[in-house]
Amino acid sequence: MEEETLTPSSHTGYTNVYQLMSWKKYKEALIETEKLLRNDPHSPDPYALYAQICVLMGDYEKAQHWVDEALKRDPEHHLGWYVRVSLFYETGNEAAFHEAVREALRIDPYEAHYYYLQANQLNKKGKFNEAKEQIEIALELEPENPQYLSILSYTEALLGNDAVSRETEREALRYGAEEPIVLMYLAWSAARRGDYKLHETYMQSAVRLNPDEKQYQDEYLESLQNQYVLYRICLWPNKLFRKMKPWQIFVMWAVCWLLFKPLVFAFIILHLIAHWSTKAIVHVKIFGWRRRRT
Amino acid sequence: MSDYDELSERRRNKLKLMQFDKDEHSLVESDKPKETFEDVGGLEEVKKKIRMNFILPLQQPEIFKAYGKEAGGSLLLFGPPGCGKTFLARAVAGEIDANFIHIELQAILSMYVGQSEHNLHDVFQKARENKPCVIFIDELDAMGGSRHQMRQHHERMLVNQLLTELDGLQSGNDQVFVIGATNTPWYLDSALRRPGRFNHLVFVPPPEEEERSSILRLKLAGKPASTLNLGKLAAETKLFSGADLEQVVNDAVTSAMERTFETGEIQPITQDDLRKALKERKATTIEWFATARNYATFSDVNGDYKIVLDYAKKHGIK
Repeated sequence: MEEETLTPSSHTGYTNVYQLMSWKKYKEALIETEKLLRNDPHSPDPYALYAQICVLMGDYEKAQHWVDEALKRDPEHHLGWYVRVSLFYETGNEAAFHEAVREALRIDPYEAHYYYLQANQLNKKGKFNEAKEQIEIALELEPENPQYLSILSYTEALLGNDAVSRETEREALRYGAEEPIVLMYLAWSAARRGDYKLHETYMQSAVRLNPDEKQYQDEYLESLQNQYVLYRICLWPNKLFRKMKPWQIFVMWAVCWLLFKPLVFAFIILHLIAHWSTKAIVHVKIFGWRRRRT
Repeated sequence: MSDYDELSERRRNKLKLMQFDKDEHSLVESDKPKETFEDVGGLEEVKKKIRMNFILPLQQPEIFKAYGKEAGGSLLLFGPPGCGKTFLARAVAGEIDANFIHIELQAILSMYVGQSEHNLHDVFQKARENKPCVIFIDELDAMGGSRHQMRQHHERMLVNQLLTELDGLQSGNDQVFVIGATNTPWYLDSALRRPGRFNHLVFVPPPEEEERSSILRLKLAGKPASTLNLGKLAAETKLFSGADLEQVVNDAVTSAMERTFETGEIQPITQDDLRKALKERKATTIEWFATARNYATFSDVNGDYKIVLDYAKKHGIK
C-alpha cells in the first residue's frame, strides 16, 4: 500500500504509524493515524490503516466499522480488503472469510497472505493436499517467507512426508529463526514427525519471544509433558496411527476392542493418568503452587 | 456535482506538498530540574537502590574505589505506565545538580526520518558540552528494541548508534549520565543490558497507599473541595498509577463543574464526586502486570523480572 498511495506530504505520517506498529505501540499508532485522517478525510488509506491497527489490538468491532469506511471510499482498496479478510479470519467467520478472500484475490491476486490464510483453514479441516497447493502458490509469490515455509513444513509432516518436512524446516529457520509463529509451526511439524525433544525446543524459543499469547503458553506446557517417559509411552501409538489411513485406524481399534477389551481399557486409563499427572507436574514446575491466571 | 467531485479527486491525487519536520530539534527538551528525591513521595526502596548504584558512586567515588566498585553505567527504570518514571529521572538529575535532556517518543520517531544516527549523536554531543548532564530516554524500547526483530536496516543503525554512544560514555565522557525508561523492558536489545550500558535495572511500582493519598492531595490542591477523606479513597485505589489518580480527580472536577453550571454557584468537589469517578475507572497497571507476569514466567532467562512476580504475589495481583 505504501508504494502506491503515499504522497510526499503524508509520507512521514505513514512512516511514523508503521514504525509505531512495528514497536507494538498501537495506541500511539492510532493517535498518529487520527492525524492522517484529519489531514485527508477523503482518502481511504488512513481508514484502512486505522482498521488494521484495530485488528492488531483485537478490537474487531471497530475494525469492521473503519474497514467499511475505507471500502466505501474505494471499493477496490488493497489494504481495505486485506484487513477485511484478516478480520473475518480472526473472528472465525468462515462463510464471510471465503467470500471476502475470493473478492480480495480478484482485486489483488499477488497478495500471498490470502493463500496462506486459506492453507491454514484447509489444514484445520484436514484437507492437507489442498492446503499444500495453496501454500505453494504463496511461496511462488514470496519464496523466502519463513512463515509460509514453516506451514509448508507442517503440512508436509501432516501428509507423512517427513524428509521434505525436515528440508523445508531448515529453509524456514534460515529466514525466520526469531519469529515466534515460525517456531510454533516448526514445533507442530516436529511433534507430528514424532520428534518431541525438538518440539519442546521450538516451543520454548517461541514462548520466550511471545509469552503474552495464551496459545504459545499452552503449546509450550504441552510440549513439556513429553519429558516424561510414561506420557511418551502413551503417545507411542500416535506414531503408528499417523502412517495409517482413517479406515485402517478404525479397523485396528475395532479388532483390539473385540480381542483385548481389558487391555484397551487399561491403556485408556493409563493415558488419562499420564496426561493429568504430567500436566500437574508441569504446572508446578512453571507456576509453582499458585493458580494460573489467564 | 459529480464532475466537481471527480475533478477535485484528480487534483487531490496530484497534490504534492513538501513538508519538513521543523520540530526535530525542539522535540528534545533540555532544562535543569529543581526536583530532588525529597519531592518523590514514597518509593523508598527504589530511591535507596538508585542512591547506592548511581548517585553515591558519583558523590563519593573514593569509598566505592576502596571497595573495588566504580561509578558508571546507566540506569534503566521500568514498570507500569504513569507511575512516575519521568519524575524520578528528573529527581536524579536534581540530586546531582545536573542538566537534563529529555528524549521522548516523538523525538525518537523523528530520528527515523533522515540522518537518524547523526541526530542521536547530536543529543549526546550536546550533553557532553553541558556537563554534568543527565540524558533521559523515555520509551527506550522504541530506540533500543531487539535488533533480531528489526527488518529495516536504519532501525538497527539507531540501536548500534545508541550502543556506540553508551560505550563512549564509559571511555572518558564522565559526568554524562543516561537514564532510560520503558514499560516493556523485554523488548530491549540484550546488548543494551551488558555492563557499562543499562546495567542497573530498577522496577518502579505503582504508588503505595500513603503515596496515593499524597498524590490525591496534590492533584486537588487549590481546587474548591469539601471535607474529603483522602485516606479512605487511597485505600480504595489499590494499584492505581499517578496518572490514573489524576484522571479520577479530573472526572470529579468535571462533575463539580457541571453542578456549578446548573446551580450558578461554585460547587466544591465532594467525596461522592471522587467515589463516583473511582467507580468508573480501573487501575491501568493491571494490564501491565498481566503482561509482565507472562514475561517473568516464560521469558525471563536471567531472572530480571522476578521482582515483578514477587510484587504481584505480595500485593495479591490476580
